Amino acid sequence: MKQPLASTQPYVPLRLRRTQKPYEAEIGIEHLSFGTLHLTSFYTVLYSISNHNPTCWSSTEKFLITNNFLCEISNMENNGDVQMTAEDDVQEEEEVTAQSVLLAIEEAWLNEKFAPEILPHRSDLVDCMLQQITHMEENMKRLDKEDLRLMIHRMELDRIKYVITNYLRARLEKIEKYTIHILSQEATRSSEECYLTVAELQFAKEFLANIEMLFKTIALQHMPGNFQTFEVDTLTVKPNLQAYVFLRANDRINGIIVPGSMDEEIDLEPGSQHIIQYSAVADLVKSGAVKLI
Amino acid sequence: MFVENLERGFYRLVKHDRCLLLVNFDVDAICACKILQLLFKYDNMMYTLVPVQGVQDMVRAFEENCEEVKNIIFINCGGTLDLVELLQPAESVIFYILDSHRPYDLCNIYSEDQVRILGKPDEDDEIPEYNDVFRDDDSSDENETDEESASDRSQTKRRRLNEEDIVKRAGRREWSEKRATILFNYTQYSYYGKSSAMIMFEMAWNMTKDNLDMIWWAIIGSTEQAILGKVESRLSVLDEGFLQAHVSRLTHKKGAEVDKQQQQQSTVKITYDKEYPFESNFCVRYSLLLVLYRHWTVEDSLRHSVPTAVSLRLWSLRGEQRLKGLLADMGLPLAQSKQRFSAMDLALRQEFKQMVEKLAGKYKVDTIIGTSFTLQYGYKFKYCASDIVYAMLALIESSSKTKLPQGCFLDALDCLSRTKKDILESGIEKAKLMLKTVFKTAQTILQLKEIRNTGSFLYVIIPEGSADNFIFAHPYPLMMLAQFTLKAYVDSSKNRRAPELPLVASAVYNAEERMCIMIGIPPVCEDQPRSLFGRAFEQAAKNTNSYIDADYFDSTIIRLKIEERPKFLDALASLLA
Amino acid sequence: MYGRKGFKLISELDLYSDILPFNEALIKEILQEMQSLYDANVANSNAIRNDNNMALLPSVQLRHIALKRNKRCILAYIYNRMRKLKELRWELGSILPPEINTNLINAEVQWFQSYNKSLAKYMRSLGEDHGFNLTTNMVPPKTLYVEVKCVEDFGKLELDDGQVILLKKNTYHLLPRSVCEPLIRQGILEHKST
Repeated sequence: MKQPLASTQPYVPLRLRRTQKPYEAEIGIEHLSFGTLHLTSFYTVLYSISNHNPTCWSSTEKFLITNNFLCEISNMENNGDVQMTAEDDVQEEEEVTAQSVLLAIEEAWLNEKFAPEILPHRSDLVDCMLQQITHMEENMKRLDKEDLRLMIHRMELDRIKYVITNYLRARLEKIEKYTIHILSQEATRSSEECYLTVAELQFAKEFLANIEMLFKTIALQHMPGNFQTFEVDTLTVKPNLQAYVFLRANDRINGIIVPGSMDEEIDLEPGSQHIIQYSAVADLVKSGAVKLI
Repeated sequence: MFVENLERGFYRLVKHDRCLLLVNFDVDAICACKILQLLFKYDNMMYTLVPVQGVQDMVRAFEENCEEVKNIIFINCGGTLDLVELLQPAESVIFYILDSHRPYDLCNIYSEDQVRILGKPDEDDEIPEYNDVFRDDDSSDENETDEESASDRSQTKRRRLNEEDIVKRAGRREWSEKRATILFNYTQYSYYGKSSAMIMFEMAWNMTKDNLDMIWWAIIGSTEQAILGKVESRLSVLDEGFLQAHVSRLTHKKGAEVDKQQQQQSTVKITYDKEYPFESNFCVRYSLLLVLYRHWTVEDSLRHSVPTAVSLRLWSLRGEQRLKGLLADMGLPLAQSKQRFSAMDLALRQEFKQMVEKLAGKYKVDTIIGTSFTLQYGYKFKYCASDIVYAMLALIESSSKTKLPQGCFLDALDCLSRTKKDILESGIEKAKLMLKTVFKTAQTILQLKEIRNTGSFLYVIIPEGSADNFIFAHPYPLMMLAQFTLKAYVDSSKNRRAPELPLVASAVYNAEERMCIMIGIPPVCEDQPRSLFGRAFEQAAKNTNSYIDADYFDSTIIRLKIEERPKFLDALASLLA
Repeated sequence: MYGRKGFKLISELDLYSDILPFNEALIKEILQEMQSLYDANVANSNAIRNDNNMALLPSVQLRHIALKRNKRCILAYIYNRMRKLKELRWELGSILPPEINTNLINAEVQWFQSYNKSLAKYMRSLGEDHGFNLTTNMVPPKTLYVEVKCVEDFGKLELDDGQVILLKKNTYHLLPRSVCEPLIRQGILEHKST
């Protein structure tokens, strides 16, 4: 998934690629024949296509840029012999550079942003990146105020911070919206494969408890008899897994059954782009075989 | 202390710290400030901008913001005041003064380090020598720079000879008399120097950070000086040549396509990269100096432009007929002349300039043909530099009970950016209203013959009560009115001395507090617009013991109590006789 | 009767986008309505059980549905107010302006405080030592410094490097974006782009 982008031309290649390769939207169009129900979804598809017009793309895409920034900053003034502890730790386990962490976190961020449900957490990436940020800030303090690099680095740092905060905020929003659903799902998972981090889990639990408290003190306790209960079932909000998403395949995937059809299957070529119902590819998103765009 | 190399002596020094910008309420200052702001933005330098209307405002702004600020930049304010004395700054604070008001205060000029005046001293400033003005009485014996040699005088002192003492005292008296004359000569006239916006642009150019926007702002700054008659025409012609050279340099840099035919008309056309759907044109050509004619009707524009209004004597009934005659001679139907210029028939619009040019001689309105800069941006955005100046003047002076003057200032600042077309449009509408009021008031004054002659100067008092007259509480409309009435008076008066007489105009400033504003303008015949009213006002106030509020940075504008006005004018008359 | 008041409560939410004073009176009325419906149902179901009077069953069912609907309306009302409150936390920070505070009832204030607490706890858990503030960087950064106009008197503002700046109405500044962001959201500064 390495992106061969020249750092001197940051944004252009991405746009070009998008316009060269029209959307492979055949899936969406076939759905039309299934009656009025699908008509609405067709509209949503159309709508999101128009929203996805490259000229409207703002910062989202900009962050996909690979640059040598992180490498440079980590080597900056270290002359290459002093390595960061954070990076060292990771390097011992697996060969990870700061740059690849950034790429991975950008992918996780976009996935989280576009997926209707909450995805498994990537706190490893976040923690690593946050450590990097502190480290970089330390490094930057040593730079001369007049140095041109300082401005560029600070700008880049701001962008990375935005990615991280936006990623974490997107998760929090989902947690707040689907609290009960997420908590009940989480209860069925073992500690290794759970989707939320410990802190997120605690936040979710507290959030639920607070709501219950609020409901009880204001209204529920004044209600007659058996209406006083906090009915978890009726209050659950579930994410709409039938929502359509844009995706690009990372690997070759065979035999995805198109939802709504009887037994129609499609194959995804690496690098190809599609619009499809989220439920069909949910597992692929989680495994990293496709990425949402 | 003058700083001549602005990049080294100013920009690089302020670059490291946050600075405070104190900007006066005038178009030139706003333009200079806008250029500086853009430079600061390029270099990511933090700043705080505070608009200041008068001396009190400036002192307050300084006191509020002086904490932790090392560099304070005064734009079109403060140069004529002894800033160190007035503001009592901490040692580390450095004042940079960019001021087109003259004369500079001598303490500012001879300050060693703390006060730095940006720009070169003008040739005709005639700044007195340091030794002629400053002489520390207590330490005069040690003062080596004194005329007498220091060793000589220390010896005389040791001997304590009475004779020597007397000689010394006499010398000192002579010196101080001489000093008074020198100071009087130096401060007698108040006038304006080079536009601050131009100085800022030159700095940007020296740093090769200039661009088309900046030159446009510099153009506006110097156009304002020309329109309000702040500088002599010789200077503004020189400036124009300088600006034109820069315009062509900058447009060529952008990869220009220059049409040969257009080049003959000294027109520069620039086209930005083809990817952009707009093109931006900068033109300097012989054009009409009619106010806002592109955004108004021909009739209104002719009526409200000073040259045409004066030559045609449009304030009288006959003048009205003459205007109709002019329009008829041009072959412009009345119905068309009452339409917005942009809505006129295309053929008439294209010929309009030639028609006016042809008839200018006949109607003695040659002065309306001159040079001007025009900025075109895309297809809809076409403005003359003077259009923008009028719009900004109207915006600056549009404060009311609900809107603070500072807010108006920021509106005028916004009006300079190309993206804020709506503010500019509203400014132009306000400018039309302002010009109309100026014309109407002048008409009344001239018809009722309200201009009084004291022998040494003329004065006019704008009557109270009329609903439109509140705009004359602001200095610029009043100045425009004064200039218009003076020119009209001179043109129509039989008095042969009329061109040599200056004019004082006064209007109500605040009806509740019974305050009025008074402004003095130099006579028509003087090409060098130097006004002696600054000192004269001060002196007259002293003679009559009346309180005047000289809060404006332009010392020819003052405020005083309405009751004291007759007395004050009498004193002024005897002073100038 | 039968959920009409509940509907009124919900439409109040829909009509105004900002937080209004908590409509305690109406809620009380709805609760009373629920109580009387419930009492009637209890009486009727007793009658059904004792006399085996099946004719009453439909009315019991109707009342039950009305009860459920009322409960849902009240909870939706509370939930949506809470959501708006939550948005304010992200927008304005942990201290609510007085004009909003006066419109809240005690339980809501308490909820806000505990939400604050758990959010703060979560943010502290991020990063290594002093946590990571999620309420900054709400919009994608474009430049390091922004031109801002001050629209309201604010007083002194301290920057990260310790400099103090006085923000007074109708002054113009170039300041670091990260510092301005919350103030722009609070409407004290106005972002000027040229």
